[in-house]
Amino acid sequence: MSRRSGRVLDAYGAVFLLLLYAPIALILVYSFNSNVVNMMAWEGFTLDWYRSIFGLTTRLSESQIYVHSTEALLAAVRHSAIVALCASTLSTAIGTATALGLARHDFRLKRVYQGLLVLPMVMPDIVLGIALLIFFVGAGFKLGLSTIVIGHCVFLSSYVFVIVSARLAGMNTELEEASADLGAGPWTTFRRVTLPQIMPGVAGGALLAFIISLDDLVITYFIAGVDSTTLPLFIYGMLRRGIKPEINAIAILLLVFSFVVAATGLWLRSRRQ
Amino acid sequence: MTTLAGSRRLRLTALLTPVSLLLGTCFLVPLGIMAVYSFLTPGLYGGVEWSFYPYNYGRVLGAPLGDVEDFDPVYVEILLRSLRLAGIVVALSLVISYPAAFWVARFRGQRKSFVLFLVTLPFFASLIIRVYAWMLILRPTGFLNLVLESAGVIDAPLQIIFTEVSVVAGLVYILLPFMFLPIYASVEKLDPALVQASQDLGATPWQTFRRVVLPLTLPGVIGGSLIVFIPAFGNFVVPALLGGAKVMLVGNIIEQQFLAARNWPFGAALAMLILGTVLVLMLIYVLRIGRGGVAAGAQA
Amino acid sequence: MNPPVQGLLEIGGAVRIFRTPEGSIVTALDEVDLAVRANEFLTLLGPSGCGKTTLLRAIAGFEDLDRGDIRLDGISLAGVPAYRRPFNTVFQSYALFPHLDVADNVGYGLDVKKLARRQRDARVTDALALVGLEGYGRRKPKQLSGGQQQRVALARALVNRPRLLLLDEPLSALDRNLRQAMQIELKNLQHEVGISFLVVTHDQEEALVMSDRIAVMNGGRIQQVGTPGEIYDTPANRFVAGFIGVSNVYAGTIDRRDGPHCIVRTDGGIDLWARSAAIAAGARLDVMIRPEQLQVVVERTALQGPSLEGTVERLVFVGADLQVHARLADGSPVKALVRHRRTPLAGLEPGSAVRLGYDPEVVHLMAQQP
Repeated sequence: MSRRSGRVLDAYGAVFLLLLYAPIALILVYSFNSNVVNMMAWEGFTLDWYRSIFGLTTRLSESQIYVHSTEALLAAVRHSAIVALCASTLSTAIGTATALGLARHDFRLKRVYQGLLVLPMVMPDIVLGIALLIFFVGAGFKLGLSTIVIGHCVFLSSYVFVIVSARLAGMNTELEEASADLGAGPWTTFRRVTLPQIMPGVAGGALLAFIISLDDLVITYFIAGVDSTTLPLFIYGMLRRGIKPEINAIAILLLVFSFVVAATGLWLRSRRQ
Repeated sequence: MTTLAGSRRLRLTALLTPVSLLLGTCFLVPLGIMAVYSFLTPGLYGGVEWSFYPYNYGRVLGAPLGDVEDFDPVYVEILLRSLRLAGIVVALSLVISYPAAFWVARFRGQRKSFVLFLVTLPFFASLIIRVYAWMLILRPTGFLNLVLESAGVIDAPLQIIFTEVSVVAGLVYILLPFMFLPIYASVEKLDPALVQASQDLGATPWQTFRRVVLPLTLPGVIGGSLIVFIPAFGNFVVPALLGGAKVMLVGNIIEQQFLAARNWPFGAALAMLILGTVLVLMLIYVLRIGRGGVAAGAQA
Repeated sequence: MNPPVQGLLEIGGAVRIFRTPEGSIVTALDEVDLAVRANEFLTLLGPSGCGKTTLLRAIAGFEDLDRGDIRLDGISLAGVPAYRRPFNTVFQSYALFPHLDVADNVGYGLDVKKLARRQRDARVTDALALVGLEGYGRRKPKQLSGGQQQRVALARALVNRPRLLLLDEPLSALDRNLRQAMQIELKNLQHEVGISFLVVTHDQEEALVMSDRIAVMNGGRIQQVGTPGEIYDTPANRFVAGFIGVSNVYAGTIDRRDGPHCIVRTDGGIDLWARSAAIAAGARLDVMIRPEQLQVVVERTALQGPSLEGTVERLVFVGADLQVHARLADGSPVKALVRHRRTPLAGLEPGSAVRLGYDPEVVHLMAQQP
């Protein structure tokens, strides 16, 4: 490749990164804007919006904010945390077990399982959402946090499965045979050889599951009960009522959190043995 | 007598039982019930009557039940619009991602990991917040109008939000990673020696691209297109926030049937149409590209 | 009444059939009988796909047999999982645990048996000393060379004092010089520890150097079991003769007897003298003679005893020796070896006539394979 076309490509790359980050950066900047009348016009630096979502005293009047009490917001955060923790734990266990089963055994239905596991990931989430809604209502489940957890597990298990499978595929199967050969039973072999080898994959899968669960809007939207609003649902509700500047602060806090989790997950995934 | 194969089968059963139960009861059964629902009669007050009723599909596809419901071409229009916008989203994200994949692939070592990290990170940002960012940009009082007005390019704010343009922009922004990663994976696998060999054999840069680079990165392009198309087609959050009442997509209609109109069978029928489209596309993909491709694409 | 237990480990009538993904059926083991004796170095030698690795894995407990039996001290191992069998394996890839250091790799088998700490440490130290890796305990496998990794794999297996050590192509990942040194070292190690070694290899030279006995396998069957000398001098059939060393093999029939000798007429019509065997005249058989047992002289030089006549095609230098490729009168190829020759004999060149003398005592007759 010539030097000139290399430079063109570099310039393109810069524009590409700008496209990715500028919209997010915009939120960050405006989350510190003290202008309460026109949130797009920069007036000065303030932390009032962050204060207001934590329920701290600010100079903002009630008409300028949604979150009159932080209770609803905190409840949404709590719901999201519970759902994400439960769903990622369960789906990590299920997805890892499935990956182990499919990677280390040959059986007739293997391809059926492989295909079945891809489906929840590629299915439009609205379809899965309403199918679950009809199912839960029909089966007499009360919509709430538990239905959200189950719903999330359905597609999160597939993500964990894919990531752990990739890790297993890169693992020398002779290691497990060597362990058995040296006298270790199946459970000891799993605990002392297989698990340490696939741990980065399992941890990465768990973090990815956690973050996808935390962020899921569409499926949750259909299977959440009235008193189990999660954070994305809460923000969606706020946005449908109009835009107020404090949403910038909420958005930035959420972004910082998911970036930290994602960065950890990416680091774990990229780490070699 | 226990054999090695026997105890392995036992272990396999134990490992696969949880996923079989989960996907069996909470995935396949719900999809089955939804399929059944789409053929049931809508009840008067939101319920269903257990009698066969093909007109949920009839309403959309042009064979309604004469005096009760009319064929409303609006549903076909919305379906076609959803397809068209999803197609545009695929094309745009492809055009944006393809050169970017080559850009990232040119880095080496630690710098490459870092650039890849930079490119991947925004994809983990909350979806609703990434859509919100575009509301900020595209609103009449938004950032774009602000910049254009202060630069004197326009006098009055442009109406961009609640148009197809804003829906497409939002969808491209949130779905870009699903296009970028599969393409990047296939660009990364491309052996530079093949490009050099092509040049060595006298091919111009364009011929090299057409005859070597493009065919070898095509699996990534096709995989990426598929996994961008599917969520774009059924999306309802982006059109709800950036399209408003003017740019309704099929996802919005489904949402309405379930949460406002309470006509679940009709909503289920629309969902079945989406699902059918997706399955047909997947089937074509699997038959033409091969089995491993779907998993690989989804993995990226 | 069973014959007295001859070996430590006995394999009887072992059959293993695989179905390939394409649906065809491969018989990896076809009625294999084999006994491993106490304190011997036994090599399973054969081309890739001959079933030798399958046999090793069945002994280790990684594969079921479809039929037949593997017995240790006369007791069947059917259904005994790998982790309950008193054998240890040195894997082809070594399979060292990358997340454990050398000492923990070596101590793994002792740890899972919950051996007391002090005993465990002492045995790990001894095992590392045995393979010449004192002081390497805290390194990770990745920090070692290929040869060192192999020693760790050996120590990890031997530290458990197995009844039988299984080695799957143990030297294939090493470069040539190291491989030759390790052949001797493995043999010495086996002597030192007094444990039977069962080695799988496709390298005939390796097998000849290391083994007390060699079992040659092909097509899922054991072709011959014997000492290196027996295998080399009196191969059981054409396959063994061809797989081990260089040989001239001709198919033929016994034409007549002449005193202590019989005369075999090859299918090309050439007569070869051999020591008379208990085979009826007219029987089909293969006859073999090794190149180094042919005495090469230029045409018309007087020779005692029988000889073959041929035309030289090519002269090939093999280190100190000279290999003569020639054709017999019927066109069939023959190879002969002239020892310690840097220059051809006078008059020996491509196209020249040559006489190949031999001693009928060393001409070897083999039953034809079905």
